[in-house]
Amino acid sequence: MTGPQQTPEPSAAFNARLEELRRGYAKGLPDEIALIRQCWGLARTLPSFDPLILKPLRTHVHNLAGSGATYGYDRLSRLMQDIEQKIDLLADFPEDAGRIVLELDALLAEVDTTSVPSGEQKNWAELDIHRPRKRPDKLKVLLALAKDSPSSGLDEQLLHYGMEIRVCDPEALAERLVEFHPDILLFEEDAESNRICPSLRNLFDQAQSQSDNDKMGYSEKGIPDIFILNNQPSIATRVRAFRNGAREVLFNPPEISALLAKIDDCFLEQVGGAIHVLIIDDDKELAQFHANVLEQAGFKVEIAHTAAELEQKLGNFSVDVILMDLHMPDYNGIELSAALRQDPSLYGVPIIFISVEQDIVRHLGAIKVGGDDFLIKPVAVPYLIASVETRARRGRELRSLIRKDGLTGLFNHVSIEDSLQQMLARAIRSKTDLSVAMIDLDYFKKVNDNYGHLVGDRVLIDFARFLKGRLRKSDVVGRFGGEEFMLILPDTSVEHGRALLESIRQSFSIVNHNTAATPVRVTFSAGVACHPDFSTASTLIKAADTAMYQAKEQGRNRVITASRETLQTEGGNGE
Amino acid sequence: MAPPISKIVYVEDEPDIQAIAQMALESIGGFQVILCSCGREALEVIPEEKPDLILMDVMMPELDGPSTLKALKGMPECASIPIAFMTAKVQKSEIAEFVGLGAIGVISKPFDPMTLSDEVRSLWAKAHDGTATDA
Repeated sequence: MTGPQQTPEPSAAFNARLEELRRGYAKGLPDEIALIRQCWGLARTLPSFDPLILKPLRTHVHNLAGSGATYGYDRLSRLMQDIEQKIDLLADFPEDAGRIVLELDALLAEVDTTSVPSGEQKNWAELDIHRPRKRPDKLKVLLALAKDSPSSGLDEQLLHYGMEIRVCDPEALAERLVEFHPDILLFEEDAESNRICPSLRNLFDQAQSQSDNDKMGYSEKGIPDIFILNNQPSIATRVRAFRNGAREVLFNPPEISALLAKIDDCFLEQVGGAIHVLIIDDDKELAQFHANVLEQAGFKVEIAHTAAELEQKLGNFSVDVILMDLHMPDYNGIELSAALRQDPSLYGVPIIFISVEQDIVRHLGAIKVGGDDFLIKPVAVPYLIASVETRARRGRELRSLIRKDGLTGLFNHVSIEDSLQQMLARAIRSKTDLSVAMIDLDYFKKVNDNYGHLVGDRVLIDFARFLKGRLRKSDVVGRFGGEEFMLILPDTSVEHGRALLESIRQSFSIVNHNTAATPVRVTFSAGVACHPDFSTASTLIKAADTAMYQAKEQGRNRVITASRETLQTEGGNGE
Repeated sequence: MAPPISKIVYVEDEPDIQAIAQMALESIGGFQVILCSCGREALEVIPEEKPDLILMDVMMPELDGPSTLKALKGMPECASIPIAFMTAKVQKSEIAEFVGLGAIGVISKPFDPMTLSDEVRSLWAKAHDGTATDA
């Protein structure tokens, strides 16, 4: 028998040797990263991504992912893990290569050659508290509520949106923070008993002292965004809360959809990879210089020197922003942009002119035909980057608004049908199932008639959020029109689709959409149809729609699946 | 109670990781560590050294971790030596797969050099609790 072996305290010699190893690692790191960039630079333009060709790149990335955090480079490890995953996707899903290449570009742009071990950054002053983070798959929310709180039903409500909820007494906050590691904290203040939310700093210190045993320390897991619930929020309350590091003070009890929107704002929308810039300039050297500058900033750049090249580039490059010289031999920039503005696929794409032209009248002419910005040569590098970036982002937002339904933020009719075409093509190629569900809210007109359009709109918004909270990232949901919604569920058989819809149906039916005296509850009827039972987008939609109407006829508040006969009884299977 | 570990053969192709893991295992864990830089070398060294435990990287050029494990399990003198994998991509399905092959467990990379030895010991203890009659 032997007793448990004790781990001795590391000696000074050990620490010195460790430090030496770390220094060695740090010294070699820029070369490693440069090598990875170089490998990727060679690989990214390949016509196809054979795993064998990607292997050297993948090996380097894998090695850094595995060693980074051991030497204190936690962020680097995480980035490399993401990159490795994307490289695997590249080989597995060639049809998505275009997008994945850009995501890889973006990830590699985040790799900082001069990165320092994150251990050295653990400093309170540098904790960037309100920086948007990625939204976790299951959001953890901690409610610190007093007994008899007016917000006591909140946990029940939030639960319906796919969040993980804990409720605790405000006194026991520090312990629960450490146990639960919430992403969001709601703290109920009470003026009468003088209970106010502790400052972020204070909470952090408390939590850290609670987690002394936890070697990784509390900061590793991040600190939550804090919302304060207050019965009578005043300017003074809000300023104090702001100083203490809270995100916002909300009226107690908060309105559920407003609260959900505030929570959403804490997290980054997934942005769609690197920004694409098309440079049109007959001056080859200058075009190349601008391209280099923008590429270094992480943008993806294509150059066209002539109108003919421009047409060809536009055919196979989806553009976020166009950077155009005002004076060119064949056409001038104003003429060219007037022509580009007539191409519907370029709708909302910003055009930035570059010129030595100082004449304000010509600027006006350029702006009239659709130029969005005007830069004067020589353009200072930071100004060029900032200008391109802001314009591109705004253009993307604009185009996303066009694709999305204004009320619910879901895809609109046209874009969800586009998505279905693409996802179905993929399902057919990979011989996997794909389910489509059509959903229609029951007696929705009555809600509008009895409670007004505001409540009706809230129901639609609640339902959109509810769906988003319950679905996987790969699922797509759109508002088909009115109170009709469509879901696309890849890799999902008709039975699984039905089971999912059934569970959503049951839990949605108990959500109350009205904070006023009379509760408002809404049910829905749904029809589910599946590839390979139906093999085209239009038959899938038609079958799901027919099944949905059957659900309506059979008494509503139910889910019906479509079989091949569903359409035949309607006269022909529409294949 | 599990017997103490004294000798470990550590198979890893990455020099950066090799260095820090060896140091952590020797200085903090107090183990005797014998390094191998590839699966082939491991197949030569392990039958001679007969360590208490083998720690092995999964992704190695030529002979990878799982193939090396299979080869070792085929050698009568090595078949009973416990093997733990170290890998950067740990998913539940993979752990199950490795355990299915006969590994006692998986240590995820990147590891913390300060706690690596503890992780090794707890895997070791767990393996011995579960298979007390084999030990």
